Amino acid sequence: MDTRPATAPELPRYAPNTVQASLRVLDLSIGEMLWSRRTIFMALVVGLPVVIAVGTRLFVLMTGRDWHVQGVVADGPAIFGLMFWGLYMRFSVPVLGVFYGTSLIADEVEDKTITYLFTRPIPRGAVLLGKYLAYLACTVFVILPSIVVVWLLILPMGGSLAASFIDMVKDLAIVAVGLAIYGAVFAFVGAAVKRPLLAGLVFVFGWEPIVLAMPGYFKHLTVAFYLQGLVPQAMPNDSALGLAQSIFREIPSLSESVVWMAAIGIGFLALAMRIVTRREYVLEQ
Amino acid sequence: MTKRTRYFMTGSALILGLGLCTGLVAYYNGDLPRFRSRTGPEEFAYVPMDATGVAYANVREIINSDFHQKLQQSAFPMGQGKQDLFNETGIDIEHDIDSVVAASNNQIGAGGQGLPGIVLIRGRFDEGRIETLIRQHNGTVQDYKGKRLLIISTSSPGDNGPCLTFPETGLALIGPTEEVKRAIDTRGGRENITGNQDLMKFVSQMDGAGNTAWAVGGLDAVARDANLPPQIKDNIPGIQWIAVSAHIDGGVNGLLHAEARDDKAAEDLRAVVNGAIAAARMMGGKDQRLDAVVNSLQLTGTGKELQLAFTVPPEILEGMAGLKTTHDHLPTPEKPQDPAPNRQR
Repeated sequence: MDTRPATAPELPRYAPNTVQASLRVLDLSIGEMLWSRRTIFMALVVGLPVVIAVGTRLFVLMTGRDWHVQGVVADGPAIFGLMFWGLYMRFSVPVLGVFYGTSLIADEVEDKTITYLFTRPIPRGAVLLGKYLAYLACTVFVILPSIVVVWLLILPMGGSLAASFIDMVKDLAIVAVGLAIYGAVFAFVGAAVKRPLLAGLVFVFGWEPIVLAMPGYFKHLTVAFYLQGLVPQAMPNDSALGLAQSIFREIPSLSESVVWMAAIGIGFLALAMRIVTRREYVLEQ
Repeated sequence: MTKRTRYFMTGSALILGLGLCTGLVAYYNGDLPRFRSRTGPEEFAYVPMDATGVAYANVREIINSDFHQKLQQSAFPMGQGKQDLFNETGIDIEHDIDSVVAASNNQIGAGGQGLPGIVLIRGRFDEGRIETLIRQHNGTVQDYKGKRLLIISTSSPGDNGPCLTFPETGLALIGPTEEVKRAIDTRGGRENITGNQDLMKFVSQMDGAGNTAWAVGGLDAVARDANLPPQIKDNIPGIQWIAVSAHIDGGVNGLLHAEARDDKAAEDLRAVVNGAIAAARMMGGKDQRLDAVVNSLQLTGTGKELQLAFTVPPEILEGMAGLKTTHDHLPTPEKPQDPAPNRQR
């Protein structure tokens, strides 16, 4: 019989740096984020396009007829372009950014569990960074498979998988970038504003659509404007679908979009980390 | 990370990976025909299985192309004819026609005459106006399985005159009456040209691959035509199938694909075409634009296959425009004066 006393697990003798700490927070948070109440909402947001795609494909298979929009055949690439732009880029990406981004810190404050995180020997900014990475992993691993499934279902209806593969890969990259940028912006909003969800929804469904449709310089103060510079292949270009095109006439160049989005993403994330580091959160009793 | 989370992430990554791998395989193989919901245009539902050739043109894309604009400016302007058609039928070719499918066969009609085939036009039509026009020209209207057949009056005997019907909104079906009836029957049944595996093999390669227009035909069926003179029959080369596809934009990028009866016939054909290309290159050098066309010719293929790629650059059309301008500015030759008044005794 072993009579040696049980030893406590060895604790690290040094405080982890920001990267190590944020990876630990990521590991801790990803499960919480994935199996939270918001998962139902996320499933609906990304499941709806898949359901539409399955329905469309079944309709075409059973009837042998194409979709017609104003007498013109809407083939697979046109439908996919419309779904990608309308359902993913203009809805799913910003909405998931708002719901998850604003909750990164706000949820901990609301649940009064932020104290437990802040008392750990890790930089406070790492908590936000880790949660932001968890959000990114969580949303990317849900949205990208959804887009791929929709592409496989819709594109072959009069289109060619081979011809559109490169564009689809670009689309996936753009969605990932969109999630990262919106997430960073709303992580800042969540850290800085008292009612971040309301502010985020106003930004996504109020400010962005109105400003984008208006002439002038204000559209430069949106994320969607710069995302357009990355998605020319996804924007509807059919005359029947010209409404969206008419709204977004001014499209920034690729280099301008990349530079500005990098600045927005890194800038807002850094600002959010700074706010979390300096702010004194007072929990309501 | 919990086990459940790990499973979820792995599942997601698997779906993403499978989708990307499928796309990658399609990208490197040209396409994945099994993934396609339907090969060929929707109008194939009207084309009988025994069709020997089909052709498709995306008229909307052609009309919108720079190629068409240049063609209009250069050699083939659609002027009075287009206006006449619009005045008579209300059809504006540039705006009302979306696509055209034509199918041919080697069927013999009831009167012993060959049936040329059918044409299906997708677009927007003023059906009432067209019916009135046909009636005004002594045409008759017949009902066939719920479809109104507008039979155009001709001087030829028999009841297999040209016929037009609108089997569904936005689709016009034109052809000899017997063929139009067959097409309506074909739509009602399950067997259509998509069951013709030999022909559909070519269609699946061309349709949905970015081609604006394409055509495929079986020369074997033509050779079997009893009405074909033996002199022509004997001179048909050993080609079984021939297919042409083109992407029309500023210029034309095309591919001619032929399948010979056997390897020997294909080898002979490749040698002939190679010889012709070499001869064209030897004789070139006078016109850079024509040289560009000749230099774009690329012959490939092994076994029974032969593929000839070609490009017609936009400069050729500009050259044609130049020719037309030159022609327009040439002085009109004076008419020789009637010598009669000078004839004096």
